[in-house]
Amino acid sequence: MDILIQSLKSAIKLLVCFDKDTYDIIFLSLKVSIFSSLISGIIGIFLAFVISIKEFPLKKFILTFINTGMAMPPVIAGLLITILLWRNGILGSWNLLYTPTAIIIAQTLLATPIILGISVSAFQNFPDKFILQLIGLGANRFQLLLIMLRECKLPILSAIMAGFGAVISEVGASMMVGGNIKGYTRVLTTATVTESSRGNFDLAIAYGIILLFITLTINFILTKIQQSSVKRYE
Amino acid sequence: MSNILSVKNLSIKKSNKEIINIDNFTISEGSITSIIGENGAGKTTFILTLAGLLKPSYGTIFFKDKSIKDMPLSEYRKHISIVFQENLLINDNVYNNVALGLKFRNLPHSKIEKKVDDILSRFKIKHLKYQKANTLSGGEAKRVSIARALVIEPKILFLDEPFSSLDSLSKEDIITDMIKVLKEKNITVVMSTHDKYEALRLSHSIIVLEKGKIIQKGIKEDIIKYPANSFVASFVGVENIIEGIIIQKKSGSFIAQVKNNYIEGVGDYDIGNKVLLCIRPENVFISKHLIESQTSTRNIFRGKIVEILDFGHFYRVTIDCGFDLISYITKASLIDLSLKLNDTVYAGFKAMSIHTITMV
Repeated sequence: MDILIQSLKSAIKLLVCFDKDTYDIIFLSLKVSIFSSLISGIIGIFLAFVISIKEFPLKKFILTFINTGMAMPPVIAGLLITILLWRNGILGSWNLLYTPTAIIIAQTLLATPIILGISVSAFQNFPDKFILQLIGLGANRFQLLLIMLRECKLPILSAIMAGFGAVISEVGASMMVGGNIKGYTRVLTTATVTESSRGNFDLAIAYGIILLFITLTINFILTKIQQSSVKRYE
Repeated sequence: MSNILSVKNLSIKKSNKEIINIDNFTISEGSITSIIGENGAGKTTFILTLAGLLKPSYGTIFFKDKSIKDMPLSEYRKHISIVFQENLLINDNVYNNVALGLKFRNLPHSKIEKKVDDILSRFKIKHLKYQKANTLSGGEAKRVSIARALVIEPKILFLDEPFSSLDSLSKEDIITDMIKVLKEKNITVVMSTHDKYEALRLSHSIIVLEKGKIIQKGIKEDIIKYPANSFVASFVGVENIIEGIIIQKKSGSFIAQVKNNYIEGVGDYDIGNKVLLCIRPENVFISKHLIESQTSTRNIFRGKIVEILDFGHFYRVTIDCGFDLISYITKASLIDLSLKLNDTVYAGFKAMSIHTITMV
């Protein structure tokens, strides 16, 4: 219990004293996770829209593949991106390994199937007749997507929350492709692991508490937006 | 009137099964055409295909004599609008719902506001302009969905059983407002319905679908007079549909056996043919006494009254003559004849009032 109280004090001290290292880690964590969630959101929602309104061969197979991807372990995403960005890899010449960009790429790979899977399910629950009604009123594909996004605001925000939750809390991918370089690619999760392995439990718990606080705040904001939706009239 | 929509050799398949097969038909500009048929006849599929929302497997749809295959589908869709049974309103206020089609057409804001205000006034819902769609009553929501379809001033309005969820009072009121706009803007309507009063009241012509095929099409009056089968007969209000077999041929007339009775009708039918004899209930008279010698009526039967239903301004009387015969009579007639249940009466109808359908 003492260690928890001590850690809480340390966390507050780190925040109140504007500890540079801590704030660097917080900002980098937020930056990479928000970026990867946004990119995954755009890719995931667009693909979900196409998959939902189009009929094509292998649709069921692709949906199974996406659902499997939703449970992808972060280390697998990290491993795939590491191989891709490795010196001799396909994208080795870009020199992105052990950079924040590499973390964003790995986290995007991790979050996209989650956002895509939940969004497909949201769009597929949108009544077919409603889609025909909107097309019948003259909506083009983009206008249709905007209306469907508005009408499916609740599950789509859930999808983004789930994607953000997955990337802000993952450690495996960030560790593998970022390298946990202090002041450059160290994020809250990798910092927690590092301090914990060094026996600095108070600092590790302090980072953990900050991570929880950030996750809670962002999810609180998103939930607030999500719950402002009201039921559609059919 | 010129043709606005026509169809040639239309076929729609789902899972390799043909669900619509239409040779050809045309719809005149400014007319109202009803598509009727039993559940599963393919009415909605047909409407969606005509509206360019479902791709036919084969065949061509012509809009003003130009195949819609030869124009971008979006171009054709600019001229149409559709209303479904469900109101399908977005989670927003009435104004934004009605303005939807105009916004899709990227019209300037001032023009949209003017058009929306005008249509809201015509449908008597201007006071609901900023009310959320999910707080509207069923009738109000239906007005919004029809106003939304009409505000874009389509050339053709497709209605898929649009009034089936409304009570008759709201329905009547909405139809009246809608008809005014349709006439003023010369909008052609293609409507699917299973409400006979709706179809008979609104339509100029009727298309009868059965298992995806047109079994009868024509102007309303012809469909009422000469229904092609028992479904159409029943749909257009022929309550007496009696199955019989031709046992005798005369010059231009026939005698059909119905159980132990004989009915005389007009037309050339071969002996042994199975037929449906359709008699409208308003053509069946009731008498307390046999008046065979003083009437030209060829068919008079003795029977017992088994049911009397009060329909407000008339009564529906069912007489068991060995087969059920339904007659509509006025309240005055019912009182004058002092008709009551189990009374023995004579019921009759003229041979000329029978519409005969040969059974396949």
